[in-house]
Amino acid sequence: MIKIKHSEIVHLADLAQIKINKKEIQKLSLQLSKIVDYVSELNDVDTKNAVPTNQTTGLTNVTNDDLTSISLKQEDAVGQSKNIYQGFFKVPITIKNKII
Amino acid sequence: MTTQSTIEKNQKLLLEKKASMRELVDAYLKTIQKYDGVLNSFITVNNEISLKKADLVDKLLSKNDKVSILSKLPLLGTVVSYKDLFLTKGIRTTAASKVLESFVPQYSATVVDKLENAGCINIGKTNCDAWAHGSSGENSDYGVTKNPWGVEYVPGGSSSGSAVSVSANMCTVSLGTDTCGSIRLPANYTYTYGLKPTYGAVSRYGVIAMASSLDCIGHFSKTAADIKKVFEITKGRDLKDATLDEKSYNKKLTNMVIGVPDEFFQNGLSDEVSLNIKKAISLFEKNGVKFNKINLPHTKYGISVYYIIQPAEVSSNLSRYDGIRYGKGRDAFSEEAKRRIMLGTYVLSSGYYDAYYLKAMKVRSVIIREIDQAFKSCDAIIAPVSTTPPFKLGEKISDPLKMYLTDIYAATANLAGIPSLAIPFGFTNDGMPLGFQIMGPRYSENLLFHLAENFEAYSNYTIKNPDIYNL
Repeated sequence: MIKIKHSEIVHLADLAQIKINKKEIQKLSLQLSKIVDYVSELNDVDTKNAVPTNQTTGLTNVTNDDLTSISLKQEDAVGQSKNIYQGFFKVPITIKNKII
Repeated sequence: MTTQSTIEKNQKLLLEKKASMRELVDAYLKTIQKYDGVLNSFITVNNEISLKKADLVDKLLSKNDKVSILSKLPLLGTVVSYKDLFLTKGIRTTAASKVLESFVPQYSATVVDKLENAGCINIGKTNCDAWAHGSSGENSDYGVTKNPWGVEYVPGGSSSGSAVSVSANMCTVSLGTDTCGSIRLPANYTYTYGLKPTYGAVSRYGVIAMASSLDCIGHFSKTAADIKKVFEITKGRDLKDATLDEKSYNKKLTNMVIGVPDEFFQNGLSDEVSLNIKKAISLFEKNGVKFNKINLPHTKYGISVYYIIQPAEVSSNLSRYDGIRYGKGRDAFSEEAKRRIMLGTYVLSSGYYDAYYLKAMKVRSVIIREIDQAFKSCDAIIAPVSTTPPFKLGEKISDPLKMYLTDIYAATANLAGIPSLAIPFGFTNDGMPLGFQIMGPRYSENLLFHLAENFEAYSNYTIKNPDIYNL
């Protein structure tokens, strides 16, 4: 059976920006291993001549005319956030080092 | 007054001036007040807003004759509820998650606007599995929804509250989403009709996304006619959704042949469900519809394909919830959302992408090819919706894989992008609802409605209401 290690779970949680505790690490390791083991049955299917499907409409490059229209007012657009500074969203720092 | 179950009945009452729109809405609100404490199908009830809208309809009724009011408001008298994934301007929208506990949208989904313009009145937002992740309604952060046909049973999910609100006459129709059976399963478990339209037939603008290559907007009702009436309004192009197309189904609706896929009636299907569908088939046959055995050997891989593609898309769609622009932070995600985000991150991560995600997209193509091929020898396909009749609350909740396998018969339609209609038919010995689904080629909704309306005649269908008055 496929085994997803605890260290992998921690790494995935980091990538997905999800906080998990020790108990959850253990549980997720078991549950994800079981699910991934099940879906590995797909290895039995011959897909040599298959092109991957990412959508079923067959539509490509759908465009609209570039027209102006009424959009949300700024106060409405930011109205659901608790962290606003002078009409803008406040976001966490992503680059910590000062660039001179 | 007791609430009515069809659009036609409500329109008749209004046009014959036997009731006002306010009285109708008030009756639905009273039904909710009385019975939803037990069923828990609503997260938000629009007490005042719905009555205000009713007064506007009453004004229009007094100023217009029958013909002009119905041309302005084809869905006059329709009281609708929305799965709490549909954005409704000024009305809280939670996705049944604590992340969006106090989120009030600044605009409405296209479908919500379309239905409102057609005369529908929004009575409230229904409970569901949080982010539409689930098959039983038990994953909601706002408590489980109960099946009105037996409160110790699940109503099916994820559009659990939508199905229950229609089943228990708390609204006339309800809108839901179907990514892998999330409309058809709860319809099947509550004795209601549930439509999953063709992928790309109905606008998804303003509906919280789960898995974008699979999500479809559909609805519940108590008659095939009402499913059709609502679809006439919801379908069609929307400049805000680039995945939409409009195509028509031109084959004649005579001498029809329905395919019976061998693989859907093998091990794992309960005898009660299987025997009941055989009864349905013989009713069709008595009325001249032919049935053909067909083989869909790769559809058994559908649920595995789904549990790779869907979590991958979930992990991407849920990455936008960071608590910066709206809602709470990512700490507020509950167990099932975390599990799917983690699973999706795993199948997309470097080293595993080809083995899982790419492989799943290829097997998806194999399944699609098989389905398209099948429609060369039949007009539609009949199948069970679920392996078993409604199961008990708590029965599968601790085993995610077991819960996921509930939707093994639902996956085909979503993966192939074809429409499917869940039709209520029969009951178990314990009085729990049964039924089946009919799938058709892309954009063949009219064929499905035709078959469903004919089947109502063949089976002497009558609307059945759960005995909620004894709750």
